[in-house]
Amino acid sequence: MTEAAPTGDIAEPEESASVAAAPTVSLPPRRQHPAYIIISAVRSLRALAFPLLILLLGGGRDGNSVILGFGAAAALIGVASRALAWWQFRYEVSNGELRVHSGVLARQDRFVPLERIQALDTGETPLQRLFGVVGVRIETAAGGAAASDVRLDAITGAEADLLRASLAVAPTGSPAAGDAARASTATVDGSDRGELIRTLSRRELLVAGATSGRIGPALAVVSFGFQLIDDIVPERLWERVAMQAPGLTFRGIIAAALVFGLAAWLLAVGSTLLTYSGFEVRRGGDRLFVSYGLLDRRRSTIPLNRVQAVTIFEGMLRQPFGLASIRVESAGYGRDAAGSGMLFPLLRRADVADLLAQTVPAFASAAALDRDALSPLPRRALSRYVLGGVWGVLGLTAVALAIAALVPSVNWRWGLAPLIFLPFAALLGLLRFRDTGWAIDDAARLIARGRIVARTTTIAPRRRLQRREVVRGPLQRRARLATFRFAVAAGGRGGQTEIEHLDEAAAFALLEQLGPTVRHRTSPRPGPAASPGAAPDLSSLNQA
Amino acid sequence: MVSRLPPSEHLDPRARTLWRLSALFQTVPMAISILAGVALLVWLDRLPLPLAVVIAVAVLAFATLIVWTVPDLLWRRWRYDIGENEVDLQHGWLTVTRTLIPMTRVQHVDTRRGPLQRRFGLASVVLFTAAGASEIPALADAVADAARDRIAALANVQEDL
Repeated sequence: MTEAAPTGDIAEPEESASVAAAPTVSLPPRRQHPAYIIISAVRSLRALAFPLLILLLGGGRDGNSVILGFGAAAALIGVASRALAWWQFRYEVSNGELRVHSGVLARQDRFVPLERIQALDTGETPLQRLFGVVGVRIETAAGGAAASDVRLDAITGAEADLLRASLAVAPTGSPAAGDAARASTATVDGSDRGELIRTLSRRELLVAGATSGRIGPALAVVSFGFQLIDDIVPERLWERVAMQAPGLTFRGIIAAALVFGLAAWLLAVGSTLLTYSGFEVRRGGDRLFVSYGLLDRRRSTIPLNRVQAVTIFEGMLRQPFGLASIRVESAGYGRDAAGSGMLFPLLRRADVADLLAQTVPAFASAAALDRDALSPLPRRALSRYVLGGVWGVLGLTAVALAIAALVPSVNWRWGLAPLIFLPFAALLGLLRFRDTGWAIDDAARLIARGRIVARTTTIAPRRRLQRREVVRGPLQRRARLATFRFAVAAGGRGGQTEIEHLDEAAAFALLEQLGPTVRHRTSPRPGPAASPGAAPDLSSLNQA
Repeated sequence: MVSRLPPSEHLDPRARTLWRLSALFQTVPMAISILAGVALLVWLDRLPLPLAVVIAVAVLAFATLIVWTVPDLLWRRWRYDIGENEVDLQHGWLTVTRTLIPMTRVQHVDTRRGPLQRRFGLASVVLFTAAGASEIPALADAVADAARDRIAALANVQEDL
């Protein structure tokens, strides 16, 4: 690989809002580590390995050699094409831009201005660790659908530090910009990564695993495991087991469900332990540094001025113990795994305010944790929340009944089984109704609390709102209810939040109060285009 | 409450014809295949004729509703305003959605003309923010261009996301 020392060129000063511009280090064009070929080939072949495995296990003996031959050919082509891609891929930092040249047949050149770069994340999978390289993802501020981030799958740690140093743009707005710039390069390029704010203790990690509720994906894995066993175990053995089995009894089903549930739960615990082991949050200047993971060590850098919203989650298993987790929605985050925006995976509810004040002070809202500060839903929304779940269960029952009636060997009464969930659905509806609420606090931040399963509180400053919506369905209109929706600039689910079934007048009031303050007092049209009541008390807080 | 009054501007009246045409293109093949299936079943003596007639009438009525009535209802509901501070949109027939987008959040704005739109001399204005795109469909060419320029001028360039 082309190892080059940092040249330390001083590029032209950046045009930015700060007084003094930061000197940027330029980086001559370079390739990734050759391990890229192996790593990316393994990644792209992994998708193929799964169906291949199923074919091998499921297909007859005679078909196997064909399948294996096909697999080997695919692997060979894969490696060759990745090698070409590695050769053609170059990146550099010059003229205040990150430039990435790639593409085998169609050449692609991407120029990303440094001030558009949101964050630089590094991480290492076991495979990357084997080769002594790290993966780097550079988040850019391009909103919308296009894959906007730049990914490097294999560069050495030293290269990553070099890149981080060259990309470090001076934090804007601070009076001593020169010092701040030097300080921030110092914090991003090496071992000292800001002041340690909080770590996850081993006990907390275990509790986080036990209460993670990540049972859904775990269930899928477990059921696949059972299926695999079913395919591998010789049929004769199954038959013997089946002869001795007491048949489809109620007790048998309960026992199977318990075993199944326990396996899924253990898997959920394990995956949480792997993901969040060694979690720590540091803060250096106006950046947060979050690192976690046992095998797959992730480190992410979040510039504070890019944080769009903060969400507090209180899962069903955690809420009774007063536990919560916190995520930050940062522009450019959220398209990836659920952990990518995690600020802290488990802490006491009582500690949330403290942590927010230390990490993201702009989002430390007292109202977010105060039940009485939130406006509740009108009473007539209750039936809608309860009935919503009830209708869902009844629909499921209808489908189950139809299936049970059509399958001859099954008693049709089994189709009524989903009705067991009816009281739970109604109870969840009641909880959702009780937990939903909103407020606009004294710093013009919108606090929206609600529940799908976990209780979720979103804190979004008014000036971060990209879009606000009031949606009214036909039934809602009859009951004078509405759904208020808002979106911040974050890629994934965190980007959009809604408050369902609030009073129509309240929804329109939110729509209005959260608007930008009027820049010119003259309204173009006669009529109350700018409401004088709402504007003055908020105007001082508008974007500077 | 100011915001509860719908925005004032309508889409171009030709939007109705445009939407009816495109609904026609989507509905006719579907209706024909359903009717053909029903005819086949009758021919095979699998479906009593009266029931077939009822189904055929229902399909035709539904198709008429989608092609003729719904575009008109949609057009009546679709309103927009390009204010100095915000873009204000309202649309939807059964579910009514009111959307407000602050000018300062608009990153860029396009006009788009599909092949069918071009025949009618219509264009859509598409607004992009960091949280996705919103569209004002079916404005007259000149109106769309003016709207695009006005939004671009009011939004100008953002230094902060």
